Amino acid sequence: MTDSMSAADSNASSPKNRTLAATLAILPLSISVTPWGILCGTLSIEAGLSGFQAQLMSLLIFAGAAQLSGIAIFGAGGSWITLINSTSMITAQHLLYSASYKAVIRSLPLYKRLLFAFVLTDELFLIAQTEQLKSNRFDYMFAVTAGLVFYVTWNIATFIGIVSARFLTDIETLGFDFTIAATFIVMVIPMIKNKALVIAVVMSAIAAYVFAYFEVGNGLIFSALIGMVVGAIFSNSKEDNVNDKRELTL
Amino acid sequence: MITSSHFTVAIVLMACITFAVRYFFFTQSFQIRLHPRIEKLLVLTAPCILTAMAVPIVFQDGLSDSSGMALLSSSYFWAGLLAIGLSLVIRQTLLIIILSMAGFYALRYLGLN
Repeated sequence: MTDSMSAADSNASSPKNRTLAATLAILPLSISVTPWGILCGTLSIEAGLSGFQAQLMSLLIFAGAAQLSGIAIFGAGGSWITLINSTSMITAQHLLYSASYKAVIRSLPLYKRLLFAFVLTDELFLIAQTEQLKSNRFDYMFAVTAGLVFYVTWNIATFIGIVSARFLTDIETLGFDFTIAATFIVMVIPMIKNKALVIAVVMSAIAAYVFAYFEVGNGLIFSALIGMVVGAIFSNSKEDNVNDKRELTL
Repeated sequence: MITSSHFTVAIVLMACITFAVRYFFFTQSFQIRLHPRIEKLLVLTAPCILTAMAVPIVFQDGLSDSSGMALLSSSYFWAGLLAIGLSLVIRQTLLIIILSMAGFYALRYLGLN
């Protein structure tokens, strides 16, 4: 049918269709992120945050892994230094995304740069890159629309989690630390895509055990750094380099 | 230590950090290029730090015992292994967490630490 051609044309021109296309593009990722949002909401409450604070995390921070690590630190009575270090290290990967879009974003007016930075998540990066490969150009409105749809979904999921936590309050809080650990495990395993990552994660685990055993201060940061450095040294195989490039090229 | 009266401040601080990282290369005031080696390190940060946070929890019973043998009777350890195993096989986040928590509570019910 010739319809598909004309549909594609109007997709490119009409802003309304672009909004719809952006929403549809991010929809599968929005659905798959919902459990994380629910967990963030529920665990925040278990860690002792108020409903407002729990929602505020998703409204302001908008980064699943960073939020969960923050919740773990709040729950365990961690220090400010630990919070600052773990938050910046976990979100450090976003530097790559920021660097990737430097060329197309830097010349835009301030409010557009601020808005794009705010919605720049792993998921948005993936969607915007896929779209850009298809159409061969960067579409700011498409990316920001997808990002905002994702933001709204994330916050609704968090809210559902906060509400669910009210029903769970009597279930023992004893298992809170285990739930956090299980959450991190479920998050890390799918991230391990190549040999370098296997080595990095195993080295971090060993270092974390040793530092915890000898009660070394800031062991968390040091063990992560050791894993990263050792992993990077071993990430010279061709296969890994190809994978890295595929993720980074714009 | 961060007390509950400071949670809101801590959340705002975290928001500032995550935003600053995302905005970093969009400022017009300075030009920085990422060295490829740094790029490689950045891909590894998140999994490494999440692992480093999970290990002291999963291995807590082994850490408190000098021989490490207490691990064998630790519900944290066995349920942690269950979570790892399930993550390798299935991708349903909530299902894995619910199943491994069920395992955790079952092991405690059976008398493990």
